[in-house]
Amino acid sequence: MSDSTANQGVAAFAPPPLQRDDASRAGVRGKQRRMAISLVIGALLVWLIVRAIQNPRFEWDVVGQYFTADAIMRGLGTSLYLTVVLFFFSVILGTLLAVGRASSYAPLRVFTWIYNWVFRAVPALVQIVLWFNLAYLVPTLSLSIPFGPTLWEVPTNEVISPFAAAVLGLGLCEAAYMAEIIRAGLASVDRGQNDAAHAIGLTNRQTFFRIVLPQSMRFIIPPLGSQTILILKGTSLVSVIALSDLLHSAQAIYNRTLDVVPLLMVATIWYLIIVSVMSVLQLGLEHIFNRSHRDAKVMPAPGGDLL
Amino acid sequence: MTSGNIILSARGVTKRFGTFTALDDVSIDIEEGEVVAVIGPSGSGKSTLAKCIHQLERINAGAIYLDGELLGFEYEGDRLLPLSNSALSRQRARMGMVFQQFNLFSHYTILENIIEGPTQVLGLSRAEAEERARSLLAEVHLLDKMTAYPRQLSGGQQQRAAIARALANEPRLMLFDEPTSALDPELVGEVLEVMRRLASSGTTMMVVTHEMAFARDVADRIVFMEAGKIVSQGTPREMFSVSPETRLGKFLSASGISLSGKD
Repeated sequence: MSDSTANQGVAAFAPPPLQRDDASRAGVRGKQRRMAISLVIGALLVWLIVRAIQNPRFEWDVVGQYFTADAIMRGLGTSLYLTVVLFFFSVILGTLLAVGRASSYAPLRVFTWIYNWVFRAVPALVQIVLWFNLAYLVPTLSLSIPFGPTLWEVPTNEVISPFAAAVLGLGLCEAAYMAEIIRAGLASVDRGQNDAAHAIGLTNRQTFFRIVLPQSMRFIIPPLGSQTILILKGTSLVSVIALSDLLHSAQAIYNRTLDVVPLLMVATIWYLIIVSVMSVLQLGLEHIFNRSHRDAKVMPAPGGDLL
Repeated sequence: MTSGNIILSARGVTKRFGTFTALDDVSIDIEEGEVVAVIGPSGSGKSTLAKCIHQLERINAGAIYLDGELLGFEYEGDRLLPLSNSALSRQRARMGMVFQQFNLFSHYTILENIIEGPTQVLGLSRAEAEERARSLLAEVHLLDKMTAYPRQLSGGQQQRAAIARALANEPRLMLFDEPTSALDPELVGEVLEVMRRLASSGTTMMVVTHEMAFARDVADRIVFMEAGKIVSQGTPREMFSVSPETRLGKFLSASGISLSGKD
């Protein structure tokens, strides 16, 4: 009896006990202030968008008129095609460079280091123009035995089309960046995974393609996504060598009609759409490669799940 | 338990890392069915010995034979050459290795971890490999975790899965490199229990360990290493009744083992 009186005494001073889930339903501090700030920012945004739409100089009717014009569609196709080619070109070359960089063979490490140094230093725009003008330096491309007979020869200008110059100029440069991304990703995989793969008898090739590369994808995909978006935007540089990408097609039209701003808006909106689609693809890929790390549950309590 | 048939033979093995000699002229034979516990202070070279036997490290001198076959090297005429990568992989597949840090493939489920060796190295069909994996998982009590990823398992469960993975190639010899050192104390028992059953089923094992009780109860022979050399070896009874003045005696006392001498 004396026990229960004592308990009542304590209860009188104690706060009401938390029921199950009470804590998770606790309110958020400063809710009103957050709401107010959100409202102000939202109102400002709406005002900006409305002003933009109402600005007659955007000439939205011209934008609409050219938005799906044949020339724009062809330019869009070229930009996308170039992006895809550049993506595979730079990822494959970048992977080779990354593997070379981690090689135990010193000359290969030195070569890949020099490659990355040179191709990251020279601006892509300069490289595009240089490759486009390769014929000036090397009038013909030939396959020959050194100091011996020539087996095959072709004028450089026939090989280096604007498209080829764009792929070389942008691709060699992008590969250097890809190599850094992939190298960092590969380095993020625990060394123990290598040992374990070798221990069960996997060869070096199997270890790389089945164990290390798939695990590095978790680290590679986020920066790879950003880099791919940079590649897409980088394709707009090829307009300097008169390759009809999206931007060059828009420029060709406004040089004739003088509707500069509306046509730049056409190109801008298309870039926005493609980048949005690419971002969604990136999220999907991240989701797939994160599946082994997604739903890591809390470890079972000690003694709870033994044997 | 042992048949007198020597499975593994290391002769004068020396391994250097730069100027540091991790293994200094080490020789050891392991018989079929034998359980050898390797004990010794940190840096004594016992883990390096396991890695050298498994060809995860290339030795600088000496020779290691598995069932009479030279590991890691081959003679071309009278020229000694390191084995090609694929031949080395085939030799490694004949031994199983369990690591301190488990090293399960984190992007694979437990089942995928176990069938990787049988399907990719031994060339078993997926169905055959899965059947083998299921019976191994049943033995380590993890059938219900087959589709889980390693991260979702406790350390003890991961190590039991790693033992199943190492067994999946049906190795001639199982090497354990401090298999319980990375585990929370309460999870050590479940892993030792699996290893105990493996030992009593006649599996040839070399266990690098700090678990003195396991070494005493399960090992047929205990090997004590210090500074890259095998200092002494013998049956658990012999090893645990040495004089406290010997180096082994001092190591055992420091490990909290009371030397009864009457054991």
